[in-house]
Amino acid sequence: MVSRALLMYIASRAATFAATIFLAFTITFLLLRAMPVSAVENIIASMTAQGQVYDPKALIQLRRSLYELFGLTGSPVEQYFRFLYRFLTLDFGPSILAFPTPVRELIMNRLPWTVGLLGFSVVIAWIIGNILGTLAAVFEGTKLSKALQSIALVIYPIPYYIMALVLIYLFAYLIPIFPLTSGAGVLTQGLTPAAIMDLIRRSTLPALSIIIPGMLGWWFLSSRTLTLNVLSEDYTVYAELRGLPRSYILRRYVLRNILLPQTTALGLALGTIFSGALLTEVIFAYPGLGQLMYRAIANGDYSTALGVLSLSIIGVATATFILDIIYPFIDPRVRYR
Amino acid sequence: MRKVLSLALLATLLIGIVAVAIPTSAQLPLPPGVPRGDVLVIENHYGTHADPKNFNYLVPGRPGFGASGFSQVCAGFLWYINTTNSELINWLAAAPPEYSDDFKTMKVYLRKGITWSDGTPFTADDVVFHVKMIMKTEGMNGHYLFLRWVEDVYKEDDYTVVFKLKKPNPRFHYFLTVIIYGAPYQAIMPKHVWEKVKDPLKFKFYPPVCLGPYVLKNVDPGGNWFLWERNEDWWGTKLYGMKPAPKYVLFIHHGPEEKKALAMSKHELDAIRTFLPENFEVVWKNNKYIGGWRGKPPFAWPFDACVKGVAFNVLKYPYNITEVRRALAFAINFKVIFDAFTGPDGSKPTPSVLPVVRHVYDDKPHYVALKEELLKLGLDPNPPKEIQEHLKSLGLDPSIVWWKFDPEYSKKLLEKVGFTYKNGHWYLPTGEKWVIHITAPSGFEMESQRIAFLVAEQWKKNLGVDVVVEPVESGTFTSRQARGKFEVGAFWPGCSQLLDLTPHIQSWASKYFDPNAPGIGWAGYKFPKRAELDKIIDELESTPPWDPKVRELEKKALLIWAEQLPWIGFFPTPFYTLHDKYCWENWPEFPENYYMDPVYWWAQMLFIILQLKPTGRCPTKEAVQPGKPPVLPVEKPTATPPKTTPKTVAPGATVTVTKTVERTVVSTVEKVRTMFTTVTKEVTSVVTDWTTAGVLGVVLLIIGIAIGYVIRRR
Amino acid sequence: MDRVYGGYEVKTYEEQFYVDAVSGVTLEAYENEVLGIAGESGCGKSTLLKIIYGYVKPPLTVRSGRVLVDTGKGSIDVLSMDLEERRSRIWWRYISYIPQNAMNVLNPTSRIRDHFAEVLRLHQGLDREEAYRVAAEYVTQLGLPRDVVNAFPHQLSGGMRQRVVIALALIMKPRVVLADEPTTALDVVVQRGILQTLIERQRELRNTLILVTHDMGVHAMLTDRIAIMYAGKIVEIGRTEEVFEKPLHPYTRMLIESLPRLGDKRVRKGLAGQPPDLRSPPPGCRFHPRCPYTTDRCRREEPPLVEVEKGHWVACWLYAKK
Repeated sequence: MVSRALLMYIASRAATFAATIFLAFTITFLLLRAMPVSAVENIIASMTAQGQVYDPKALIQLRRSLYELFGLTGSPVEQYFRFLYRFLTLDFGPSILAFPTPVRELIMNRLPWTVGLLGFSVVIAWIIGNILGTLAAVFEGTKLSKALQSIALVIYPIPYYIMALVLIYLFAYLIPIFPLTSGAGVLTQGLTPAAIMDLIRRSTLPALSIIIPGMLGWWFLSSRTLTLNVLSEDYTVYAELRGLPRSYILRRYVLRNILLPQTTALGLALGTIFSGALLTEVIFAYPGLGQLMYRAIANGDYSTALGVLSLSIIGVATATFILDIIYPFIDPRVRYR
Repeated sequence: MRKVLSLALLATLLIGIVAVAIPTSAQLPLPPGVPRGDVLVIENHYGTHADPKNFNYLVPGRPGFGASGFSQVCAGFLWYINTTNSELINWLAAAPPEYSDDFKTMKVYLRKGITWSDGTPFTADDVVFHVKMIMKTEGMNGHYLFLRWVEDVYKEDDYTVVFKLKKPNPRFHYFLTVIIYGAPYQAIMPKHVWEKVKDPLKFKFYPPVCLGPYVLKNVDPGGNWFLWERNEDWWGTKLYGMKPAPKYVLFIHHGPEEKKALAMSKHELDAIRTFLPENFEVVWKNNKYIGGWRGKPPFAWPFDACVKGVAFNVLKYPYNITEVRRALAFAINFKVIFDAFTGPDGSKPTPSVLPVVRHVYDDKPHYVALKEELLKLGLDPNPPKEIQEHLKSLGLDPSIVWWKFDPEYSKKLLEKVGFTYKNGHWYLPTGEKWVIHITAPSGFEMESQRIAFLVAEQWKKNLGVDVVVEPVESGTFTSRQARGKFEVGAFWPGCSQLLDLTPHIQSWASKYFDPNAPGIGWAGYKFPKRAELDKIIDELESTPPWDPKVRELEKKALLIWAEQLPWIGFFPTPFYTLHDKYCWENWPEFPENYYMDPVYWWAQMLFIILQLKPTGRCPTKEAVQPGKPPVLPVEKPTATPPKTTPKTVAPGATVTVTKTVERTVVSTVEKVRTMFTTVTKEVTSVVTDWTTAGVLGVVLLIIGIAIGYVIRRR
Repeated sequence: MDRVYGGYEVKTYEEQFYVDAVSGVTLEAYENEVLGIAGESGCGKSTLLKIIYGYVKPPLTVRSGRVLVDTGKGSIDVLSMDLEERRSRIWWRYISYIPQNAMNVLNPTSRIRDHFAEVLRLHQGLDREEAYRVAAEYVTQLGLPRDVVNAFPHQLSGGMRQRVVIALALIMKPRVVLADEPTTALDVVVQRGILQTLIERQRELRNTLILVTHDMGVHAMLTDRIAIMYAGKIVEIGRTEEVFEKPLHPYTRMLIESLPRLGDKRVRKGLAGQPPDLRSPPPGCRFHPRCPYTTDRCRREEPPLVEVEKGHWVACWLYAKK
């Protein structure tokens, strides 16, 4: 199976992968440097914000030393290479938000939360969305299908913030099944079954807020369209003509053919979860990478911002790369001989 | 197909039932079995902490240590200021600081018997180590401060610390006093923990060792909440009978304000920092038990530390022309701004035309004393009736409100310095069109953004000048302010808390001007009375705060400011500092129970926590009635008098202390307060030496405590 | 077929109409023969085929009529069964179908052997490995290279795919095979090969092949009998040779005359006009607007199908004098 052509293919894709990452890094770096935010000024301002008594001369000296401490000195070129080195070694140095805790530690603290919530939610939304969409297309014209479509068309355009607040209001306030605060409870420290249940309970609302628009929104609509297309394809009709049963056709013909683009989309979606889900995290006070990145950017913490963004870049690039590599294995039409 | 569907439905139902039936670990993140009535829930106003298991606040850039609760319930400070009357509270220090004649030596007497939460005794070693460590470690909070002032610090005995200063400073102790919020370097760190640390900047100090009444029980790894548990072995309980009622204190961030409003409506949040008026209304409607600065509406706290308004970049043309600034001030109809900040419950702001927050204790010495001069400068002689009523209700002089509203006069002023008005636009003397750019905050401090827009409207309407408001994100906002890259900005350079204004206005002197970070430029602004202002501040810095000369100097400085008007301040914006009286009561409320300001996010919150009582409405197991009120006696060692005999000034300091003690105990009742004031006045004349002063102080203290107790019983 | 009326019900938001695609068709097809159905595009041939097969899904409906298939144990009316029954009992067993555009009817994500396996497992209950073996055997018998079965459809040429489809249709040895335009879109060389295959298989299995195409040349070459359709109606049926040599219906005549002949250098005459809109077909004989011999009667009454000579039927007032 492993032919020279295949190796060439993988090699060319790998080159693209590397180039993408490098380019993305450079653009990110330029954007971060172009921000009119100064971490040092922010810190000094927060110290003096409420009129606390500080010695003015001491502030002047502090300002100078902070610049050095945070490694914000040096020309842009120097800084570029310094950050490039950090990026390649995946060691982003100390953060500014929580100096001198290393950026890596901050990210690792949040990573399992983000990956857990988003990974889970995206996959579930994808699965349910595809099932519903396929059903809606297969039973096209029936009341069930029409109902599903109407629900989807109504829910899809609802802004996420509103959806989240409505969920909170309904299920954490009116009918208090879920707690108002998400994330970890006291019990969640440790791996006991009680901790796991507690974690699930506290994470359900944020997960729902992502799953519902997902499964009734994009995944539903796209899978429905895809299924309708496949159903009207010649080969599907031919399969019917040959007397193949409905369920078989759905499995072998419809699902097989729509799963190709849908899996690609899923792969890409999973690649993007490393940038977190900022709105979800803010509204539900759920720990995650999105908020970390937001705070980093707002406070001018280049290292942390770069750290999270790098993760995101690598995530998406890797997902694309993997998809590129395994796609020929799934779709026979795209094979190189 | 149908089978699959029905199976799926069944599965969902089952999961749903299981989810609902799980034993609730309560809605709040509490350990299992802890009832609501045992917990005091306070807002974590910073939000999500990036590195929550890090309690080393000495590192630069750490989020507020009042957001995790560290400063309120765990940290130990030498002194606090009681924000209601600007007086010193001795906490870890047993007495006010003792200065040498030349103010180059400061002696601190520590309380005996204090222990850390791990049992180790707290001694002078800790204080000396703490200051020395900060002085050694570059970048640490307070490092440059101590380096600048402290020549040497050593212990005289286990409970006495001596600071030798590089330059005379009768206010050095302010650096170790919690005035507004508190600063991380003021919280004394335990020597026995930190001496083993190789790199103090990297040390996480987790779990923290506390001097306060609580210890850390649990932290959210996601950084949203902190749970503190009462320390049953606290020195405060053992030595002075103080015991906080809540067994647990939870500092928690719920999410955006809407969620906080929901939480408070459900009695799941007991104290918050502030609400926007819309969310305040939500809570007010749904929760009948809320209180604020007052127990009944209007709820807002009118004495936030900073006067909000708009500031000019006085180093930038044309805002470096005094007439321009004054003209712009008179073109604003103050009543419009005042009304815009009147809350739905009738809360009104406290007009502060000077850069001094108009506390009750500031009124006479700083406002009334300057009334005549201010009138000459343009103070409104006939202020609106409504505002006058409001001032009266706070106990302030109603005849002093704000500058007069006189746009015609403004126009004349502008024309006098060469501005012209043609075809609906104003033109600078240089000939260019005059467009004012106001930098405003976006996404935070929304009150200041509102002020910016209101001011812009006023100038457009009353003067006809073109104004553009630029809201910018917080990072950009602080950058621009620091670097002086703005024309006009909705900044708040006028903050004050202490009656003694020097620490708040000393930055006006040109010696403190940093050309790399000019800020609004007032310190670098050259005007005719610049030399005079500099001299006044020099003198203020070397005059001790208890010297009455200080008031005169302050008045002069304020007058110079009013003549130049480098910024326009309106009032501190009302803070809806709400608390919920459903589970806990005995919150400070003006005027009946005004023992502290409702500053739940400042270190002074400690004094509130120590006096809260359970209402009995919420199920409790281990909540108790609070112990004795947090009033600690002055304990100066009576044995060996210090080598440098203090002059008569020092006993005066002692007397001040006695007054403080009385006031904090008895501030609840007017009559008793005045009675004690008269008593202390008599005492002043009698005292001549330490022993008598000390004994008298103790006696008065006991009487005061007894009376306080009796009152509380009633 | 017996008096089958079928057509398409189309509903849009603005209107609702019925396309009368197969109108009163009565046909018979005999064992071991190739019956061709000829006509212009849009005359209803494909629809007819679908109806015979029983693949009647909206918007196609059958308003009345029967389609009887002789299964050897009696005849069954295809139209009286519902889709499920047809699927499980008749399709592929007794009748099979070679659809139009056969090159694109194979599942691009399945190998050829899977296509065979599907049908074999479903209708004969074989397991996968067996089915693969049978398929491999079968295609070699048909003269196709053996490793065709392992290929994916896009790896095969158009002609090869067509042969595969034919093979698929014949694998269960059905009694009736319906072929819809099997050679359209193929070049002549391949066309010839396909037709060869078709005819050989038919002779081998001795079943009925109903071949629908507009290409008269194909009819000439393959079919035993031929039926001419026009505007949803059968206008002439008969033995192919007879119909070609002596076309009776004016339409047939024009069709035949438009075919090129060797040696005949005259300019071919085409047929003027357009077939009628089947939403509202003309009254009487549907061909009358284009017929050079139209009479008044043609305009009013529909001519019945009458046997003019033995085995040669025509529907035209020129002949139906009774």
